[in-house]
Amino acid sequence: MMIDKKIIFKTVYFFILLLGSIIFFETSLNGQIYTGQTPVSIAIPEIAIVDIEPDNTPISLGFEVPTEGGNPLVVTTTDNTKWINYTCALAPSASARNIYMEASNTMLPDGINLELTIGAAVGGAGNLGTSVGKVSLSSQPQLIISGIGRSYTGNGVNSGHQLTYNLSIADYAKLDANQSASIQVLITISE
Amino acid sequence: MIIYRYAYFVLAQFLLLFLPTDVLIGQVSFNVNGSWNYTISSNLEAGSDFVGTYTSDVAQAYISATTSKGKGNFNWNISVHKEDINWDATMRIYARRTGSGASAGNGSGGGLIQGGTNFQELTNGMNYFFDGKKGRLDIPIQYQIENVSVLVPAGNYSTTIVFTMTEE
Repeated sequence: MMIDKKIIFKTVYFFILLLGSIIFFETSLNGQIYTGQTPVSIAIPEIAIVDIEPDNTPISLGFEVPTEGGNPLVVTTTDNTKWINYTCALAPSASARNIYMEASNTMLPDGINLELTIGAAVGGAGNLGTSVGKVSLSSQPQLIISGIGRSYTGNGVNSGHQLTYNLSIADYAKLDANQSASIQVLITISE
Repeated sequence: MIIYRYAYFVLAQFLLLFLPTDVLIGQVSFNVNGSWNYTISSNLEAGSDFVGTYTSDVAQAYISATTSKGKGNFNWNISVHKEDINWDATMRIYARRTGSGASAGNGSGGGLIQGGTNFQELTNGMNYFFDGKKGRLDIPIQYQIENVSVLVPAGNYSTTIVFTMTEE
């Protein structure tokens, strides 16, 4: 049986064309891009926390009798061992925070004044607050640090604001020996 | 005679149109699954900042790149970038590949993956992530966010991680 050479040639020619088209098609599709995605989110909470370092143990202040008659009483203790630490995370629209101090019992012995000096901020980062300087303890909340923005003072002593308690004599005429008082100081940061 | 040659060419192209695509080149599939939503704890010591670096599970997202057996050489590379919805530029986000996934089977299995095993920062511009040969299923991806601080305004931040696969 004779096969027409023209038919063979045309068939081969056809498949060469088809194969060439497939190769061209596949090559042209290389470089195709496909995409996929995943969401990622993180939530940062608002925070305003404050504490006293190194701890909340009591401090004692007192006077010493002068060794020479006619001399004033000597203040034996100025305590500066306590520090205020705070962390403040604020939303963009949030206002700056403030720290207040109040005393639960201001019935000091007569003629005695108790003052507190709040040092400038040490360490930390961000918009730390500004100390008002010196205040006399009161049963009413008193502003002691203002304008706290997003910030942290660092943790522990020598970080934040140092507190220095000072006793002084306001009126010698009112002094009464053997008197004492216990005062609890409360520190709060505004929300 | 030249008219006949054109006729063969047209007929060949015509048949090409009716051949299923997956027979010609293999059906390619690219899927990305997963998400990561992290909330920072407000339980913090006064005076301290946040830890700052947060890392997701090792398999927080999965990438699959497969093709049907009709595809002879399935070589691909993946690039990655982020598209911010609400993001603070201070925070940096990273991704890495923590495994090679599984063979896709159906004749396109085996394969090879290389690159992407170290955390790399994701930016708003597309960057090479890793590449491979043949199909792989569920390639695990881990995320990490750095520079999270109380100094960053409190709120919810979100971005979209976009993976782009290119056939080579």
